Amino acid sequence: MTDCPSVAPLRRTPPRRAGVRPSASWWWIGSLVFLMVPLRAAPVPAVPLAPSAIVVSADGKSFYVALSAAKAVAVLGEYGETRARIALPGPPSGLALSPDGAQLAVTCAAPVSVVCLVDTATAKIITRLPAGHTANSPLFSPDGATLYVCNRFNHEVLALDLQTGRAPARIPVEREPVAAARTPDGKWLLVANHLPAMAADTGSTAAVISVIDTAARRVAQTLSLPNGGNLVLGVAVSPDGRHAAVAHNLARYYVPTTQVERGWMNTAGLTLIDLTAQQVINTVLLDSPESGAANPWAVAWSADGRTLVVTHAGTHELSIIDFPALAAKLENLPVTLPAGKTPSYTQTSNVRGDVPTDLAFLTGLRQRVTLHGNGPRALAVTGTKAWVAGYFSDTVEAVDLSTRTVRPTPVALGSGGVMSEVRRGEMLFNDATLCFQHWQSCASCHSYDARVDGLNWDLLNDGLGSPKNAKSLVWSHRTPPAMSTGVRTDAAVAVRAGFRHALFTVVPDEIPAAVDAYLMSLTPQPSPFLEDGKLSAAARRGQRVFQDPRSGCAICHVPPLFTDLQSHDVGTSNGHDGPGVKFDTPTLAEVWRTAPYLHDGSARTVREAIAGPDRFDQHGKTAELTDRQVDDLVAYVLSL
Amino acid sequence: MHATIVKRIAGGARAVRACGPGFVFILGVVASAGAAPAPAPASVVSADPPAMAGVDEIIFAARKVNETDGHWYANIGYYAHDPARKAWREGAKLYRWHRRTGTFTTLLADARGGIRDPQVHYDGKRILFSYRPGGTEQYHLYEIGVDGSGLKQLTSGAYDDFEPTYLPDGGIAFVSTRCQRWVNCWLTQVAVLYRCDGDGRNLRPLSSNNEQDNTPWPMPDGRLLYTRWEYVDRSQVDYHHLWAANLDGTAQTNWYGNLHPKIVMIDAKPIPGTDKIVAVFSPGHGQREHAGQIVVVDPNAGPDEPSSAKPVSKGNQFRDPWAFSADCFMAALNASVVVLDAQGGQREWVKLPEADVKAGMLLHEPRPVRARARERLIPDRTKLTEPVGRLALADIYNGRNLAGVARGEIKKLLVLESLPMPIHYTGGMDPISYGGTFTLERIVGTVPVEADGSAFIELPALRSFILVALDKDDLAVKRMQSFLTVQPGETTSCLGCHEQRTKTPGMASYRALAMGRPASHVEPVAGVPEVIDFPRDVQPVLDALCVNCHGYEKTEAGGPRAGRLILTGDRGPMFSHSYYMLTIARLFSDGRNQPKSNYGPRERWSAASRLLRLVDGSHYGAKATPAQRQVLRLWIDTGAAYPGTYAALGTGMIGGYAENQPVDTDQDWPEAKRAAEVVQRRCGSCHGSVGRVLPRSLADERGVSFWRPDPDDPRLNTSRHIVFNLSRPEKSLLLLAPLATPAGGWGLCRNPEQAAGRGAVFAGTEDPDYQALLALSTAGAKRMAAMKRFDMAGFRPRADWVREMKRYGVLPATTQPGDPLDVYAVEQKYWRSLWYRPVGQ
Repeated sequence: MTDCPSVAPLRRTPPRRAGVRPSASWWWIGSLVFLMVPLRAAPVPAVPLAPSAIVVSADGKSFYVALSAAKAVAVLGEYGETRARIALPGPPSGLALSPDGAQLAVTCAAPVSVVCLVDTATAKIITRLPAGHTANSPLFSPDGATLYVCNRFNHEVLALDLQTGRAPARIPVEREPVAAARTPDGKWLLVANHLPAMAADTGSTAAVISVIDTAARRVAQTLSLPNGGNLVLGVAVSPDGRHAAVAHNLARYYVPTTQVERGWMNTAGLTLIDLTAQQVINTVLLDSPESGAANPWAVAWSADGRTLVVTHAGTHELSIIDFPALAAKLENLPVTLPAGKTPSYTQTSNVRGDVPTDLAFLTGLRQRVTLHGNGPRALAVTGTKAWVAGYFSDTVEAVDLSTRTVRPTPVALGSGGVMSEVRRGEMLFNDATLCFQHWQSCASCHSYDARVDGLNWDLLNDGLGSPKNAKSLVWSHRTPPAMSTGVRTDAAVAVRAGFRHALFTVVPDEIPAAVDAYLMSLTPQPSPFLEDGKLSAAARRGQRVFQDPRSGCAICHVPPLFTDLQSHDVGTSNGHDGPGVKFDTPTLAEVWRTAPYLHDGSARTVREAIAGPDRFDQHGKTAELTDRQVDDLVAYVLSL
Repeated sequence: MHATIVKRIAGGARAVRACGPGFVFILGVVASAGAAPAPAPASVVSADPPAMAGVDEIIFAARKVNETDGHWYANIGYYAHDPARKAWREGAKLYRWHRRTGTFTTLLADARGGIRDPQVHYDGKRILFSYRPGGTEQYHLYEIGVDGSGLKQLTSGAYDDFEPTYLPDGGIAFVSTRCQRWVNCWLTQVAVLYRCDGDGRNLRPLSSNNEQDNTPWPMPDGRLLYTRWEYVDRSQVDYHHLWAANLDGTAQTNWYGNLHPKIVMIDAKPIPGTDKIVAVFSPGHGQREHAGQIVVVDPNAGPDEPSSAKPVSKGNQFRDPWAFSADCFMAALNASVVVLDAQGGQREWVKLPEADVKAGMLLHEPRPVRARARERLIPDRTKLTEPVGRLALADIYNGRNLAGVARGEIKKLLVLESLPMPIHYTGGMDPISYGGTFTLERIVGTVPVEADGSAFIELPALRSFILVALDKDDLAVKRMQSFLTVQPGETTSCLGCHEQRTKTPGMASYRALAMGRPASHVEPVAGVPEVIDFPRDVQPVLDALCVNCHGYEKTEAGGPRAGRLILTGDRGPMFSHSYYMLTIARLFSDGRNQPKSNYGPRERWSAASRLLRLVDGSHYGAKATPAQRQVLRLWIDTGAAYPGTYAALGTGMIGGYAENQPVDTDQDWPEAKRAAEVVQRRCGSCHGSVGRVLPRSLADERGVSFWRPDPDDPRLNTSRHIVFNLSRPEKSLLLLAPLATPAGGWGLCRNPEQAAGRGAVFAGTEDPDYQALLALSTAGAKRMAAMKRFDMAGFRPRADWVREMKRYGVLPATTQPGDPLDVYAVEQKYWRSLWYRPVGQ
């Protein structure tokens, strides 16, 4: 079976049972061929590490790896040897080194997050600063005096003054900031909003990049991704401060999901921004005509600005892009076709507007590199190397950018022992190599955390022409049936249908079974609208309205699941749904983060879903409620 | 257990490597590379290229080939006009060869049989191949152990099954002549893509092609890669490129080529560890046994990028390539296996034993004996109980070469069906058309296109459809020159008409109106036959509207031969005068037999046809009724054929063609010899130049190509097809032009011996030379009356047509050649017999 190394199905995924420990011969071969440096000498029980961020010291000799599942930061030396392990109060979501290298900022994400400042000389936490809900992406100002942190579920950026201890400034952004980068001069902060913050039925739905003027501490410019741009996870600024690059999903949600090939459902987008003009240059696709490059995540520039690197968390690859050549190719395209010139038959991109639809645009400008690891989410580029951490494989590996000849150097961060069924399910949920031609994973429509993508999709399971908003999978197994119109008996059936009809693949049942286990493990996170973990006064008043039989909310949204598991016509049908369609009552768990609302995503806010002008008083009796009662009701629902 | 899972789910195009304790696998790779004696970058011309590590044995077939026919596909079955003449040869072996010892093991030998297309099973223990046992006629699928044990027949029946490949779902894909059709431009049978279970059961077609499909092979992404030859309204010798489909036949799509003419791309197989393929590019229209250049194709710039194909071999006589790696290939060459590297380095590796070489055998289809991973699986999307599939078209305005078409301009789609041909006798299309279509097209009907450009159509499964975009006047704005097929129960989609192949759906949202309603049934077109027959359906319209002026007689309206155009239904040696004149005067527009497609909007077909404008009332009051206009329009948009039946092939012509040689010629008739002398003596002084040369007999082409005439060739004006009138011999242009007006002629030709401008060539019909020419036309008319063309009373189809219709079970076995038959009805029954029959019905 392994006669031919490239045909044999080599194993990427960590095994579920105790693996074979590399023996002495492994060391021998490893030292000959690869630089493979295990961090521990002796086997240890399987503890998932889930590296989520990596930074490298300016001298390239110290590596800091955020181990989100282990609530720790690993400090590695230049040969991959472990120098220290720093225990943290919560799962680290982001790392930043201060300009002088003396401090490491670590965001520990939680409903009430903590930012730890670590003294890099001693590897000790020296300061703990409070932050908001699910803090991430710390960034030092060039003078080191300010630390910026994204509070994902407060939809804001926090500017922490490290020297004076003044109250932090809060800069509101659009929705769920998950990545940030700044210009070298510190004037501008680019913040990636993970999801679109709009209704899904308007014909154009996209996430935005917030450009923050750090002096004014406000958003100076909001740059929209192209229609369907969402699941933004990476942003980087070029070393010369002239360009930014944003890694994101680019969904073609507006065509029926009859196929996945040729970018029919999800594509991998890289949006380039001209920071001088503060406008989007264009969006190029990272996929190839015959193979998707799903779930782009981290993005980074080489120090000389010539190479742009993107990780593909779904396909476990790296894209290494010749940036000057890409910029020139984009620049040389006309805005409109010159008079008398006919479009090329063989090239999709004849004018600039064609580029986001061109699966071959990067041909000759980019190399796709298959990594050893699984789930590359963290990336750091130093000198001629890209350092990539595999979230599920618990590895760090190096890819040489100068030779483009790839000798990944996997550093096993952990023992690689038994992987739990839940974690394996999460890995498979995020694995686009399960999909036909690797175009997408479950995470391409439900994000990496099995929630929503903010878009409407026209699946074939209920006929063509009736797009439905992607639903969060939290409690999906507890609240049958599945899908808006309940066409799947339960979530387990839907998971299996997803592999078949969305990933266009045939898998043995243990794969969806593991995904079931992962999804069943999901629990609602505490709402950012809670006060000290409890309902606010308004929410408590709203709870009474909710439970009042006159409003009728709790008749269908029955606690504790907040659904009666039945389908109803509550007047939300939109004319594309066919006559007599009823909709499965969705749970309200975590409804604070699942916008937009209703089966067609037509309600941008919970308030619109409850008391929008066109609801005809069928979706609960809300017409008689006072504005304040509605406010209270909204406050309650957003707290669930 | 886990390894099993990964085995099924991995196997993507790129190498999948290990992580964590998967290091054992990395070790395996390193160790095997380390075990190779020369890990340095050795050329494959070296004795032991690393990419071939682990290949201890190969298998291959040895057999003789059809040395009399250069077509790549002409190696199965018999020839149309003579079932005793076979396209296969006798004598074949299946060998296993050991690399270290150089020993040959004969797994199977058959001195009168045929052995071809071996493939090793995923388990490395069995071989699937196609075998025609000596003394039998057809190839069928067989399996045999790699040790030669357990020969087992998988398929049977009166058809050929060959080019099989194991599928990762346990089935087998192959091509078969069970599709019961013949190459539209040759005298051998067609084989198209089929599949069956691993034991040969549940056999069903995956393709509705009217021409050859060849050499299916699974790709790592789970699709099937194969060669599809097609010529829907374009050149018959230029489009045989690579296509892909799912294992259930769904999602048939162009993989590489098809836009650019030339080259038979065939025997394509994936290159391990890459997303590229290696294939044979057989030059031009292909060579015997698929021989050609070994070429590597990278799909990443899309199917239309010519520079993505990089030649590997020097020379173009290689066959059956196999890729060990991106830099190491083997292929068959004459009686040998050669090993090649990507730079064209080449070394002979294996040569057939001398006795086989002396016996005239070539070496074919070398494959390594070793286990390999199954490709990944794509879910089956068919519902075999359904007779139909569905096609969702998102936006018809999304396409290349659609400039100038305003949104909303396209109102409906005309659905045509390219019809299978029950038999064919030559390389040309005669008399289906003159340099145009080879194939009849059925008017299936129309479906609406919504205002936003969307359409949602229900189509019968497994038939070859052509879509034509029609405007408000039902004129063709844009047309497919390829065909599409839906599988039973498949819902497939296209973006537009037709977008770039590297293009995703566009950026603007739209809610496709057509998707909000049930799929449209194709609405038949009332008042017109499904398959238009020119003499039966079109000529009456011409008679009513045109012939008063464009005939042989002077009438009150005008004529004779107004504008030098004849539109009467008089028969020439092959076509009617009107059919020929409409063609050469370019009064209708079609694709011709030309290597060009993707025409601009209204550049071809009905919208570009002058004929329709000339009968709109603007031309001497000729105004077609809506029914007459519909006949003319649909005749043009169905390819403007002459007969509406394939029974017309190979019969009813003086100087027709068989195997590209003229037959039923008249050169040896005494009348023809006499006429030839007259033409030379009386006409030669004016008609001596190449451009004005006259035919010397009814079959004399004067050097004009019978299958691809140049529309600008001046000789078309004096062709045999127009100067001889076999319906009314005295109305032959050859007689009317030189005959003086008072004698009833047109006096067009002046006697060069008289002063200029005076005196016709023939003063009267009593001129013996006139009589000699008349005698030839009369003899031709007599011969035509005896042989009978398809549109003549008492017409009988060829015995070969009857024989095949009996073989297909369409005609009863008791039918005798010469029995009166309604050939139109029989062919309808034949086509219907090929329709998909849902499981359970």
